[in-house]
This record gives sequence, C-alpha cells and structure tokens, in this order.
Amino acid sequence: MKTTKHLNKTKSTLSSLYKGLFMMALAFTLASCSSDDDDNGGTPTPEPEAKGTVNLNLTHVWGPSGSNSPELQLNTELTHPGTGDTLTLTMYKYYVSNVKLKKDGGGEWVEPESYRIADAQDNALVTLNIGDVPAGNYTGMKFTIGVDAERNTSGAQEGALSPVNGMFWDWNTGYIFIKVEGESPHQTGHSPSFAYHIGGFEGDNNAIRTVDFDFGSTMTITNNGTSNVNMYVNAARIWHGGLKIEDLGHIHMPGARAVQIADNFQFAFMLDGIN
Amino acid sequence: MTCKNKSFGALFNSKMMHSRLFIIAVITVVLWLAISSCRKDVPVPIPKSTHLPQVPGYFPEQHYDNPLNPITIEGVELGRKLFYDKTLSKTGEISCASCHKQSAAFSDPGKALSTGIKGRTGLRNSPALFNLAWHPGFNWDGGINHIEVQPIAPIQDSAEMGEKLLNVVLKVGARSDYQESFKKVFDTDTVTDKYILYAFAQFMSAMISADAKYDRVQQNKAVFTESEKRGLQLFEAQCASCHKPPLFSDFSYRNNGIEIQNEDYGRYGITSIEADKGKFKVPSLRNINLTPPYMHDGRFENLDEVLNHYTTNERYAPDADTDLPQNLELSKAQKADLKAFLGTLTDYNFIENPLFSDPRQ
Repeated sequence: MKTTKHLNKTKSTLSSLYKGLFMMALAFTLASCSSDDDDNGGTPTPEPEAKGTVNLNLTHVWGPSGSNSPELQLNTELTHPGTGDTLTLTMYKYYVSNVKLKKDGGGEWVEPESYRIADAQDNALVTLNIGDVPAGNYTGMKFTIGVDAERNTSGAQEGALSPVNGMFWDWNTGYIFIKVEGESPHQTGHSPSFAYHIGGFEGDNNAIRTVDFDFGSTMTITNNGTSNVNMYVNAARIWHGGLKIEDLGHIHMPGARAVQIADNFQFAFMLDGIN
Repeated sequence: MTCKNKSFGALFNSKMMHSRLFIIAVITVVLWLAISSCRKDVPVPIPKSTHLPQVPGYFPEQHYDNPLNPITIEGVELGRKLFYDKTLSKTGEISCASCHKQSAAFSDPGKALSTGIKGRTGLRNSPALFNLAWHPGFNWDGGINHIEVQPIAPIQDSAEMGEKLLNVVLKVGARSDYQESFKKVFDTDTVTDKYILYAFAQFMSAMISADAKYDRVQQNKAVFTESEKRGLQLFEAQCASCHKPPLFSDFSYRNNGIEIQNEDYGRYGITSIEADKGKFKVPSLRNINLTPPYMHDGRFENLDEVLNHYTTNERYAPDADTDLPQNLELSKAQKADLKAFLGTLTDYNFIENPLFSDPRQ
C-alpha cells in the first residue's frame, strides 16, 4: 500500500495522545476484521496453537486377510482368495473423508474440509497427510469412505471434490465413492472389462460407510511432530461373501449392489499400528 | 483490495497535523480502512432494477441461492460468453446455444432431438431454459440436483458437446480474455471448474421469463380477451394442478400417459424405483408456443397433438398419473380458447433481451 510510508513517517511525530487514539483505531480494525470473518463462517484469526501431523498410511494388499497378504499390484493377474475368480485390476481408488481423531478423555477433533482421494494406481502404499492436528493425546480415529450427503447436494465443489477428478456422476448427481475397474475372463458380455462405480447417499441406496477404530494405545501429537497411523486395506474385500465377477457385471449407479460392495469394503481396513 | 484514498498521504502533511480535526481525520480514515479491508472480495451485486430482469412479487422463493456466488451483471455476462462459446465442445462445432436458441425460449424449435457433435443425437428433446433458479432438479429425469452442476452433463455427454470438463477448464483458462473476466468476477487468478460452473449458474439463474401477457394481467397492466379468459378457466380446471402457476410447473415427475419408447424409462433411470417408470419432469408451459415439438422426446409436433393426447383417454399408457384429465372432451372452440390462453405465456421481451443474446452479435 502506497500510504504505508507516509504513515510510518508521520507516526513518529504523533504525540502520545495521538498514538493512543491510533492504537485504539488499529485495535478496532483487528477486532472488526475477526468478527466479520466469524459472521461469514470463515476461519477465525487463529490463536497460536501447537499442531502436528498425522500420516494415515494405507497399504493396499491382496489376499485372505489384511496382515499377511502381499501388496496389491494393479495390471497383474490376481486370484481372489475367496471365490477363485481371476482378474486384473486397472483402477482402485476411493474417497477418504471427514477424518476425526478421538481425544484421550473424550471428545473428537474434526478435520475441516476433510476430503481426499486414495488412489492405489502407482503405489500400494497411499499416505494421506492430515495436517494441523492440535497437539494432544488421541486414542482412535474415524473416517468416512465416500462423500457426505451435504456435499453431494451442494453444487460446484473444488479440490478433491472437483468433478474433474472423474469421481462424479454428471447425469445423476453424486460422487463415486469407490472406483474399481479391471478385466476378468469371468466377466460376461462382449468385453472382459468390469467397472464398479460405487456411490449413493440417499435412503436405501446410501453407500456412505464409516471406519471407526481405536489405536489400542495413546498417540501423542506434539508441536510440528508427525505421527503415523498404519493400516492395511485388503482390496480383495470388495468381493467378500462369495460375490462373483460374473454376478456383479458393471455397476454405474447407486443401488443394492453398490450398497453390498460398500458394506464389504468398509471392513477392508485393518489397523497395523501407530508410531 | 487496493487503497483508493489518494488524499490519505496528503492529509498527514497538512496544517491540520496538530488540530483536533486531524485526530478525527486519522480515526475516520483508519475506521474507513478497517471497514473496507474487512469486506470480502466479492463483486457488489447490481440492483435488481437496472439490468437483471425483475422477479414478480407473486413468484415463490427461488430454489437457488448461493451466498458464495452472488449474481452480478459481470458474472451473468461471463456465463453468457461461455454459453455461446463453441470451443467448449470437443470439436468446436457447437455451443450450449446451438440447442438452446434464445428466439425459441432457449429450446431447439422444430427438432425432436437436437444434433450434438459429429452429427450425433441423444434420446431426449432439448428443454427450454428459463426460470431455472426455481428448479429443484434438472434434465427430464431430474437426475441433476443442483443448477451449478447441471452444465457438466451436456458438456460431457458424448451425444452433445462430448468434451471433458477438465479440457474445458484448460481451454477457457488459457485465454486471456477469460482470465480477465474471471479475475474481475471472482477475483481469482486461476480459472477453475468451480468458477466456470458459478458463471454458468449466474447466467442460468438470471434467465428470468416473467414478462408475458399473463404477467402483465397479474400486474393489472393488461387484460385477457374473452377467449383467453375462457381458456384460463379450462386451464385451471384441467392443467394447473401439474402446470402450476405462476411458474407453470410443480417440478414433480409424472407419467403423463404417453407410451414408453426407446427403452427410456425417465425418472426410473435415476432412482431405480419401479413406480418411477415412465415419469418425466413436468415442463413449464411458459413460452409454450415457442418450444415445439413437445414431450420429453419431442414426439408431438404441435399443441393440437398434445391436446388430442389429453382428450383421448385410450391413449393413456398404463400407470399414467391419476391427476391427468379424465374423460376430457373439448370442442374445437374450447381448444382454441385454451390455446389462446397458452399464447399469453409467451414472453417476447425475454427472447429479445440483449442480456441473454449472442455476445458476438
């Protein structure tokens, strides 16, 4: 601002009375700004607070169980441990939303604007950085697989929720919570490809699921420190309960089959440990 | 926000320096800065009385109201530019306006099915566009639940504009004229899909059609002819429960008794609920004279065919809505009256309003 120079020069010549009045006016400036922000639902002027980071490390595996199974490999032939179906996965991604940390002694820290896409495309290990976690002791975690109903009905969104991410149905508004695609000789029809686009946020078709678990010990977040929550995600869990590829076909909209897969997938997550 | 008070520096050098006036001046200026610096960088909405069409008092509350996207004349003009921009389509062949022509209340007159890129056609008739801010759902099946995300469907539909939204962002974002406009309207240095959709929503919600003869009669600025009056009575008795005034739709999804064709089950395709088979959104009858052909697939060429459908019960398909006219018989004169009334719903100022016209002409 061009006037700053003049302001500084003049300030030194002001009497203490003027200085006092000036400071009062400045104080008003700050006070009015913060209250205006509050009114607009914005972030209030932050108090200096000790904050750390939690890395949610999701190691995608393929096998009968989370802990003893090999890492998930896309574009490689896999055999389902339950059904015996052979398949090759070409895409495996999903929304992790609304992360909450359970505070030692009760209550939760709720991450604001908490929407991320976990994509196992390039690496079996997907790390989601959860920043600005207030320092303190935490005993557990919750997150949503999918996107809450509010953001499915609120128009244009940005960031992880932008429709350009390809996790959005333009003709039947809603987010694709889980997107799994691949090929299998068991797929019926003219093409071996299959696609499970899982979503739905209303009534019986609600496919939003919450993963809720305790650490078993206390995780201490220190100022500028980083803690890790390590989980296995068993990708094979999609077909749990004897779901055969030939029975599922393609899933491109909310419905009973999407709900079934969402039910299955929420149990794909298994805590390995924290550190 | 830039500081526009050029006299600010001069104030400090003046002889007022040690006067009480100076103290007051300092406090006033700082307070002014305090207030102005706290204002969010949102464009100031223009008064409704200048450029944007007026909403009559007898209209219900608008459905769309996003405080993060206040409607401004600049925003509407930006949305209009996008609406008429053929580069948004994959091949550069068509814009939104190609199938939504202002002269036809933004429908595609005479075309049952419109032509998308590469000569492709879809399944359904291009709907007229007006009073969209009151619509709770979009498309004939209501699959789209919010005005801001509506444009994504025609942009990405392979039978329409066939382009990925991401490519639209890249194409629009690369142009300096658009960069300037987005900076002006949204104070953003980066053109994102959100702001493109915001601009579309501004244009779409500004497309208010509320200046037909019907409206002037409501405002005691005109009177119906005798024929129009008789038509109004017929309309109120037979049509108004679904085509509810003053928007002339209740925005529900109903089976109006026409046969299912091309395996298009309408609302059922969205909800998978058996009872929704054959249901489509009740269209507004405003500007109906400008928007033939009729029905979701444009199967009826003119209003006579439409009236024949509703006056010939055996034509109703099973599961037709129970609110449809039952055993309705209309004489030639009565049909003429009804059509005379429907003619009062044409808004000639809407189709000539330069705010909605092709910006290149």
